[in-house]
Amino acid sequence: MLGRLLGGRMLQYVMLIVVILVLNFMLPRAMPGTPLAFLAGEDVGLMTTEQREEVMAQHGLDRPLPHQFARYMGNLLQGDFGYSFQQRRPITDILMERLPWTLLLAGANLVLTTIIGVLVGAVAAWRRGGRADAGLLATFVFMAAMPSFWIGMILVAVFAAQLGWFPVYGAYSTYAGLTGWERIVDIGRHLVLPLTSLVFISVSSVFFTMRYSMLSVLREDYISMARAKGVPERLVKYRHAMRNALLPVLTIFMLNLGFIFSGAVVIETVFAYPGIGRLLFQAVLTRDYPVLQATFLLITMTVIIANIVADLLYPLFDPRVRVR
Amino acid sequence: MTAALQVRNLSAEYSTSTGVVRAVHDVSFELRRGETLGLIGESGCGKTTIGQALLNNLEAPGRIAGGQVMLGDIDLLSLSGKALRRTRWDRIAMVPQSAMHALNPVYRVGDQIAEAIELHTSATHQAALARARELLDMVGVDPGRARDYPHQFSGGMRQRVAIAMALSCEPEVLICDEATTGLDVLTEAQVIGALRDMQRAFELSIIMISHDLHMIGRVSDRIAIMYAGRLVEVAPAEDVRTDPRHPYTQGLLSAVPALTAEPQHLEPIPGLVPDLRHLPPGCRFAPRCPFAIDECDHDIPPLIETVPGAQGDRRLVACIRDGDLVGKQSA
Ligand SMILES: Nc1ncnc2c1ncn2[C@@H]1O[C@H](COP(=O)(O)OP(=O)(O)OP(=O)(O)O)[C@@H](O)[C@H]1O
Ligand SMILES: [Mg+2]
Repeated sequence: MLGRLLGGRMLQYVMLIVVILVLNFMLPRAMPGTPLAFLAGEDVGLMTTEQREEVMAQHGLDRPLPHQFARYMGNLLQGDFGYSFQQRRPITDILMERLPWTLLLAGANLVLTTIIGVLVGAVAAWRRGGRADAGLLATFVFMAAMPSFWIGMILVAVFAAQLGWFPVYGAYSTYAGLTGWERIVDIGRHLVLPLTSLVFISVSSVFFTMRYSMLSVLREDYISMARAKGVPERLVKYRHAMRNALLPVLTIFMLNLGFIFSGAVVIETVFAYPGIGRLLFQAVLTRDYPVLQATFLLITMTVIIANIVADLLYPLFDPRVRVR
Repeated sequence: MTAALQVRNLSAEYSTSTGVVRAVHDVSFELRRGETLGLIGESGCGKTTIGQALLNNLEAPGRIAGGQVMLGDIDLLSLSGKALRRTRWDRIAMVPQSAMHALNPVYRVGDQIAEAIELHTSATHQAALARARELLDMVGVDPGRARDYPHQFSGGMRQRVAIAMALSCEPEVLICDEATTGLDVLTEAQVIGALRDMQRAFELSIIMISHDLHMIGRVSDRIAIMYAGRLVEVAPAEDVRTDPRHPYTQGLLSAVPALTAEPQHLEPIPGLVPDLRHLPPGCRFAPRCPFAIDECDHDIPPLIETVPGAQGDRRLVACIRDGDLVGKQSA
């Protein structure tokens, strides 16, 4: 049953992925100038003709397009994202080095944001119109309105520069040579400020979604019915209301999951956090096109994968989207 | 014969941004054991509010403004918290208006019925589920569908599921708020048939709320007619049909086509239902009443006993001209 629904969906996703791969392949070839300029950037001007031909041949750029595409796909399937002339390293190595840090930062943010937003949003809705609700609403509007670099800079100024409680930048102390538990603590201390800033700017959307969703669920007849039936208030809230109110939050969660690599660009840059976001920023500054191209592909694929996961998860939470 | 439910001076109101709306004003009536009492009135006159108030289940911004709802010697309105949760559904239950939306979309209907049973008895989940399947069978839903979710049922079936849920703890009193509104006639007949069977099986006393005079006339033993938050007449169903006393009841009857009669001239009641925030000082129906005299605007006419009709049963009417008009009006 599930299979049939997903069969059709999956086909769409596969087609989408193919389109993206083709676009990603065409991008450098559609740009003005030779693909070589795309690959090697400004260094091209310094190369001799022989050097150019050698690089072209090395990357198969002298072969016909279909051949080039096959080679591109083959490389991707082997996890080879190409080569960064700027950094003089394979892009896969660069990505693998950055990936864990972004996963740590953005993953922790996703978990915290969801838990805080859901709980606080539900409490605000349950106390609708009360003082707690008004206070929370004002707080979260304020947080939603704050520019991300600004909150980052304030945190750095106060907790890093003034108080000296936390390190200013990076994900770990480079030259301390820490190991074991000490290294974990060191990484944790580096994580506090960027994570706090990130939670600050992203928690509001979950809070607002949850609060609104809970408010509309509480107005539903089945809630009044549950009370009439004799369901104690605590169970009305958690068993009957929470379960339904969470459905829109799941959508937000999946959206955020899709943007896990791209959501932290500003914060990673402000805190010089060595993640994918900062890599993207640096690649823009240095016009490292192959790295940009690979990063975009990674980000796009993540969005699609998050969508696929969402399609698989929804039926578990909402029987209405299940197929009989 | 003692009453199954005795309602005394019940008032309920909603606080809105434009003021307090007293949707139910000083309503008293009794529900006799084993009878079906129809409660009828135009949209917005306060029927649903009465129904919810009888269960002491008015949701904010609504609140009970006074009165008693006696179930035996317990006043349901004086209960709260655990005591209220225990009594409600065990002794008095309801099929809410829009039973369509009364089922939680994310749980199986069997589990939702079983939940009520588990809360009120010591039954295990398995036993409660088995009972839920029996109840579904009784209201004409395939018990195998206990494992289905609400969205998999049609409107009429959901209505029956809601009835099964209301009957899950074998209450003495059942309130059906528009239990058949929106159903086609055949489905309506089936649902009413199921209710009748249940009434016999459980010795139920039923309050049927509706604005459908035909349906109410067919299923009720007695009928209470409501106008703008107050009862204006209470009488045996047959008397209401053949010998309506209150001018509003008469107006209602002449505004509704009789199914069996010849094509007839329908007479809508002129004017509109008053805004509950700006009520006339005296009789609320006076501005629309063809028999109104100056005195009608002075005081609210009380609902008092009047001359019995052909059925010989007690009947009540709230009209100061009741005495003068007897005989003249039913022509
Ligand atoms: N939540 C609410 N807030 C404010 N006013 C309300 C609310 N619910 C009902 N009312 C008002 O109370 C009055 C009675 O409403 P109620 O739902 O009891 O009418 P009803 O007789 O059941 O109507 P219908 O036949 O349309 O179901 C109406 O005037 C309505 O506007
Ligand atoms: Mg109603």
